[in-house]
Amino acid sequence: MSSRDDDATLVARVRAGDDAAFAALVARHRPKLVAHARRILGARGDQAEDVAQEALLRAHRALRRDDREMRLVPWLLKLTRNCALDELARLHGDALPLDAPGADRALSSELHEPHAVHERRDTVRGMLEGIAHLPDEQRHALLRREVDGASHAEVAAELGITSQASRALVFRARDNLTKYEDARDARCVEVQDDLLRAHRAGRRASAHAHRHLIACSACRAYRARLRSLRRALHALHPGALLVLGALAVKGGALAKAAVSGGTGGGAATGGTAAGGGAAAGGGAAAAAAKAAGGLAALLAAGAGSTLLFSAGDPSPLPVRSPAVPGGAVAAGDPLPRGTAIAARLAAPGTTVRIGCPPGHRVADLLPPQGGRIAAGYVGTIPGRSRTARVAVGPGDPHGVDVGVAVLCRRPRADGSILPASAVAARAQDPSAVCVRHVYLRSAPRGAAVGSARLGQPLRVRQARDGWSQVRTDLGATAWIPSRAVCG
Amino acid sequence: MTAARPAAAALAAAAALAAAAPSASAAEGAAKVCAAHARLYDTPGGIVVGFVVRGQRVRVLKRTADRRHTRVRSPQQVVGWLRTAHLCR
Repeated sequence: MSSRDDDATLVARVRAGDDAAFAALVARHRPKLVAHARRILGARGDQAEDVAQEALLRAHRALRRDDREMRLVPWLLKLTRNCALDELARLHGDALPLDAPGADRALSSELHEPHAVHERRDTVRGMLEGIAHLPDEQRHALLRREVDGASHAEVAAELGITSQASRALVFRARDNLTKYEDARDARCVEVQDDLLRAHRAGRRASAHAHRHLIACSACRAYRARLRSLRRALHALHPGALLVLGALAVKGGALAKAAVSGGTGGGAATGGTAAGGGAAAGGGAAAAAAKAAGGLAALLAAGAGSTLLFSAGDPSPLPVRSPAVPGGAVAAGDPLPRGTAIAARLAAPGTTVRIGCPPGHRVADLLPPQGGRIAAGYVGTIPGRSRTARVAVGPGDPHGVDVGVAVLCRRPRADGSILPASAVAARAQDPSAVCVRHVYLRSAPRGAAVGSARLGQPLRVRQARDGWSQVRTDLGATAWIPSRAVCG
Repeated sequence: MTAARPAAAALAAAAALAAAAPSASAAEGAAKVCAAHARLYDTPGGIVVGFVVRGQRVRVLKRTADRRHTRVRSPQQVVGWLRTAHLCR
């Protein structure tokens, strides 16, 4: 074997089973690998020999395993670097041995005070974690440039990219490492605030927060608690939580907002106040939720305020009503055009006012959320009233508040709050009921078959002897006294 | 004779009660809700205006010709149509 055999020839011979060729490679490259490992290990330089040995062992196994083409020296350096990083990761929690070279100086020097050592160790650990979380290509490019001293041309050749792209990769890797370092040192209070806001709004937290989470177990635990809280609440009260969760989301988004109002007679008016109360009501909700960060805060934020869900917002609960297109909207589905839901918490045994948004009218009362409880409109005319007065039954002895929600609809040109598909009355025949309530009858003076209410649109089909046969917007055909019909 | 008088009075009272019994289309009186949670409709199959729960006593205002729906007033003074099947027999 000639010492002048080039690396490629020696690699080929190693792959053919020639151990002498591998010994030649070791003799040729080992000093370089030891020096490389020593640079990486720094204070742990005494481990450089072992690291180089480990790298060469891995190289031997790898060369015997496959026949891929390679550039031997960069490959060996990469193996050595990986082994050195592994060694650092393994050692970063260990104490420096007292009999280590320079240990006496370390103990006497301020730089080697325990807290300083711990700080540096923490920095190294953070750096290693940051490097570990870099995208593969960025990590490779950065380490080859910073640790191996490879040129951009070499890095580019290894990754199959241009030199310019290699420069960009290294730049981005450094940038990400800096951001990671900043995020690692960020205050947990700020990160947790970010997590809470994201949790309330149902969105992903910022990249900064996620970088911080990599290094901060306390904040990871906080995020886990937020997630488990949501799951637990859903399990407890699926219906109530849909409303309460939505209250939280809407309160957090603080947008459309809260109409202030109390129980009983002191309630505020509806839609027009909504805009004005938005910032204050929402802000208070957010502040309360932020302060307590739990269900109590959500209840405090929701009680006494009405939250509006407009067309396009996810429905906070399932809706089954002739007033919505198709007759139903599943929970979470976007509310159809011209539809809104106004919701608030109400104490049992009270009467609350719930205002629809501007331009909308009261339609269905949705099932109370949080328990089977009696409730209903009092002094409210569906299709005509803009604010619903809802009386809530006495409930259980514990008097837990329930979520009360009203479906609101923007009336059509003919005054109907039903979707076009369900409307039998035609726009060009805009008759309507002009008494508060009238029974629909099967024949003049016949048996009742239903009711019609003030303002309900209908179409007159025929009239005789003071009675009109009408077809309501729900599709029912019946007789009502002609005096109850306004043309 | 004296014994026949109370019997006649009872018959008269029974006849009067029978005459006062609610008709198919206009039934006044009270009823008890047997469904766990039932809807009150603005008109049968229409807009929901309220809910009643089991055990509540409601005042019956009207019944439809087919007796499938009953118009009631709940203790919360909510008036609406309830499925007659949700009332106790």
